[in-house]
Amino acid sequence: MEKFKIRIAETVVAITSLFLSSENYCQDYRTDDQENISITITPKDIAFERAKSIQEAEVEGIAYVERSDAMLEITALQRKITEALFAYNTILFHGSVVAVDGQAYLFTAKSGTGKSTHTSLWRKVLGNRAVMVNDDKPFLRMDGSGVTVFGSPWMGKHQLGANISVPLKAICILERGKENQICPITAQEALPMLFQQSQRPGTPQNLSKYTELIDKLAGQVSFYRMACNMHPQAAEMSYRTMSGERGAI
Amino acid sequence: MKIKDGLQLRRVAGENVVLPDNETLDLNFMITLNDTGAFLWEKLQNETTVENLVEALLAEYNVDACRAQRSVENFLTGLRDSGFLEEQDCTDNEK
Repeated sequence: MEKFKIRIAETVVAITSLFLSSENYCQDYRTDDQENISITITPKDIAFERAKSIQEAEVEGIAYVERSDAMLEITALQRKITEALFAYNTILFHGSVVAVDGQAYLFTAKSGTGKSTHTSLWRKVLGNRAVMVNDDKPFLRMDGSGVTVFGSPWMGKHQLGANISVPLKAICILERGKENQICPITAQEALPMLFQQSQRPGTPQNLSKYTELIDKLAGQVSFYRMACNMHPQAAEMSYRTMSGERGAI
Repeated sequence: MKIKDGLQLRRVAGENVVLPDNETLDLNFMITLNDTGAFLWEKLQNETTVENLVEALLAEYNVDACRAQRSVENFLTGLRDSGFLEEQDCTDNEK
């Protein structure tokens, strides 16, 4: 049993884990501050994650790849922390977030579309001006003044991101396309994706809080839909449109 | 008949959205109801009949009986097709 604390999206979580590897995985988020919530991972949680992995592989029609208990604990932690964070006005969103000049831009899409590729093009085009907040599972915290994106230990395949927070300006839904094309959409048009790409509550008690947070999110950022290819021009187009930048990049 | 357990209606971004209240139901599509649908959904939280629903619509909205009947039937068909409706089989009554 390992005990350690992390600060995620301003909330301090005291964790009791089965494996030391989990503490290492979260090391950029370690803190000694007083905790707001406590999470304990049990063998039952590991079994739940394993069953879920098998089920998801079936649904997606792909081969199931066995993961160790230690690896499954990383996922169990993410799931349980997310559930506890609804009470702190925070949701987990599946997407790749890049920040430029103090504003964050979140790209979301079905898996395999190319979110990470697109944000990597932002880094190519914008150089040091573009900073990765999180490439896979950022946290979004809704408060009175707007939406803030927070980095998390869950950074995806390429482990890109940082323990930083940036106000969220816009969300863009990506699709692959031959030609680059972007247009603004309404919150209502974005709504199905907002539900699909956020982690939904595992308990009925959190459902009202979750929908209240999605409702807030819908009202506070701009939304876009983009068909994009893999040329740097795609990043130029999405950056200009979403930031409103007129001058030379 | 009534709405199955595990489904909740919530107002989000100006829409009436049906959501499962646990993770088991997958969300590959989003179901929204118009305001009449949302009204009938609330009535269907408790065991009710087609006749009760039509009566409720007539009391609440300025429509004729024919339109009310049609609205209720169409709505129930939609719910049934989505698997949201819990109904007694006709044969149960004969036992």
